[in-house]
Amino acid sequence: MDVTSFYLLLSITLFSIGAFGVLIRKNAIIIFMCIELMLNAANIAFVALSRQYGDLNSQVAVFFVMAVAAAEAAVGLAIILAVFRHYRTIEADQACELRG
Amino acid sequence: MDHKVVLVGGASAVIQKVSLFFIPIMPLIGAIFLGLCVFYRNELNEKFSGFLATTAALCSFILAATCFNEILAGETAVGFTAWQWIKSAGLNVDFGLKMDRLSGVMTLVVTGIGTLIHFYSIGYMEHDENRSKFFCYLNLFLFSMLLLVLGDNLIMTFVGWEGVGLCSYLLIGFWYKEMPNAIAGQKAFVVNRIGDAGFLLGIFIIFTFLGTFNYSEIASLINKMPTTVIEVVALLLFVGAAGKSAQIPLYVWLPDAMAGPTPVSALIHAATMVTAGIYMICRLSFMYALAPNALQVVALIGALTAFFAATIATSQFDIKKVLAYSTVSQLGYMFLALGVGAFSNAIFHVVTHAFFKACLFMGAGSVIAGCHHEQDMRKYGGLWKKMPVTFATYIAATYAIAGMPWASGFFSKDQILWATYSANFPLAKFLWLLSVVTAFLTAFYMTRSLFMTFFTGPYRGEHEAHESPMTMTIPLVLLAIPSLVFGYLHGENLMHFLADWTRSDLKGGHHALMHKPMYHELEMLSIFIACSGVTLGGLHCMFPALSKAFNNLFPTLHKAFINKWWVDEIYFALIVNPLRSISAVLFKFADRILIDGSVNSLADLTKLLSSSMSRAQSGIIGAYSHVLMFGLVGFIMVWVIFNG
Repeated sequence: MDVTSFYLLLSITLFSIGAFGVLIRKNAIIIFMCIELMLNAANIAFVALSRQYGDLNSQVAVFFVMAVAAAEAAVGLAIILAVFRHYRTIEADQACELRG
Repeated sequence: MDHKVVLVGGASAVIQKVSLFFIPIMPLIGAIFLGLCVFYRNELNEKFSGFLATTAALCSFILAATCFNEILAGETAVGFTAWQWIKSAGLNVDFGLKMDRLSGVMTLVVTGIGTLIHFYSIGYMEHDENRSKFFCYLNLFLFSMLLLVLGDNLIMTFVGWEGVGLCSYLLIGFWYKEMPNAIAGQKAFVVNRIGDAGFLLGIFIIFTFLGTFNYSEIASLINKMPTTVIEVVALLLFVGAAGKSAQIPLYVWLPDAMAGPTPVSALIHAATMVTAGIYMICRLSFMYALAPNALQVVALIGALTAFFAATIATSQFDIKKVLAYSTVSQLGYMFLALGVGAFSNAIFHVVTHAFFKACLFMGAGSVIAGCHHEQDMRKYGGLWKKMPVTFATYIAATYAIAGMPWASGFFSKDQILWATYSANFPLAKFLWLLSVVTAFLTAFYMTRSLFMTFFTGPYRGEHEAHESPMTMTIPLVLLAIPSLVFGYLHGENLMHFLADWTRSDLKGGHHALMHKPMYHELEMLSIFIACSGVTLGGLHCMFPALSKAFNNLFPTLHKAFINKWWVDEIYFALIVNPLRSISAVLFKFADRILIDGSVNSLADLTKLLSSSMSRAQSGIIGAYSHVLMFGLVGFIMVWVIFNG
């Protein structure tokens, strides 16, 4: 089997673990970690394909994704802090007042 | 030489046209200024509103006389098209004015008597706090009436028609703070509107067949309409005339209209507005000449109305009601004249009636004002000493209306009676008999009102009676004089003048004026009838025992007369109350339940849908992320499957 395929398989595995985690876990910080996991899985896919085709553009994309992930983590953690100050808990199920 | 004549001719034509245009516009300008006076009301404005209005009316009269001069000098007509008003495919209406012989005579009557009544109102409405509004409405009325009379097409006439209806409503309900006055105004407008429906239908049919509204064009194209259609149109237009000119069955508004101030009754409901129907039929005389059946209907209704109203007038106690029913009766005479084809006779009676009826109404107003707004004749008495001028003019006008010898009423009524007698259709003799009896009744009830007001009984009013100021008595005198002498001096001239214009009089009119079989016998009969009516009226008042005995002889008739033949009650029972019940049912069921219900249930449906949809927004983050993930996966799967 192709080397690239292994890397892609790794990427898929990491992504599904992350997705599963987002769906199942209650702790908001753990959900964020899983989101980061999904983002990094995408990064692996980018690098693998860049290695296969010899195109450095994808590696530039990895930098972008990392920057976005960092910014998003900052904002997200600020929101979790604000939610904690209001609800005194960070369980995702507790913040359900925005309903129709 | 020729050159100079042409120039002068051109200039005078322009002056004519400008004068013609300003005849209706002067009162309009007056009304606009007075409208401003109403908005910026102060003492000065109130004092001068009357003079402003009268000046506008007087200018109108002078301009009308100028134009009429041209017509007397030999021109057929003075015409002026101000602008093209409506211009759409095939439907062209101009703001056009035309004064020919007929409209010239009517314009002089309207503006002349209008001016006198404006002048009279200055005195009558002196203590009213809404004087400027009153004069604004009066001027607006003059404007509309002049549009009606001078319009050269049916639409202009209809605009004026509606305008006078509006002003009539405004003026009848002038003291609207009292509920009965407001109701009377509404009644006048509604009944008028019923007539207008017929009028409009007639106009529509004319337009459908002939494609034009202009009178001269209709006249030239009239033969293109089949005779049955002409009959139908004539009858529909007569419905309109019956509404405006108070004939059976649409006369019920006129007695109630006496709730308005007396100058209004004098101007609108005696001299000018109510003659609009007669004017309209004369205008379209060429069409009515081709519709003999419609003319028979007109004559029948005219004679019946004349008789009917005269019977009611004999038993009324309110002086204005007597005059109101008298107006209805005299209008019936005019329609009778139209029905037998004597169009110029009808206009002659319009003119003489305008003189003496306006004089009578203004005299009644003078009496009412002098007796501090007491209108019941049973409280009057002995006023001939206290109000000499009013008395003199009232007796002159009564003399005229009763058809006593050589007053103008005598000439005009006699012409009508003779024309009816010699008319060509089966009911003519019966209608003649009716009109003779009506003439007797007219003399009777007018003398009765004269005696009850000025002679019999002590004055039982609350305050001292006094004569009216000069502003009120001068117009009375100015109208009493023509009431007496106009018929004698100008009667024949007027009839010839008008007959030359109506090319198609049937029986009465130009040819018949020349040879008059049985005329002298009928004249003698009229004099006898008038004198006996007057005598009986006087006796009735001087010997109340006699009248009581007479009343006991015919108790039901007497009750019928006093109760106006219960016509208002019948209308209420047959028409008004059923309409009100139907309207109540429709309101409760059709409006509330059906229409409001359907609109409300649409709104409820929207609410239902939205509430069921909003359950998807639960606020639970886990649910959102589930939907997100699975939706994304599903979408990609579908995409991969279908795009390889």
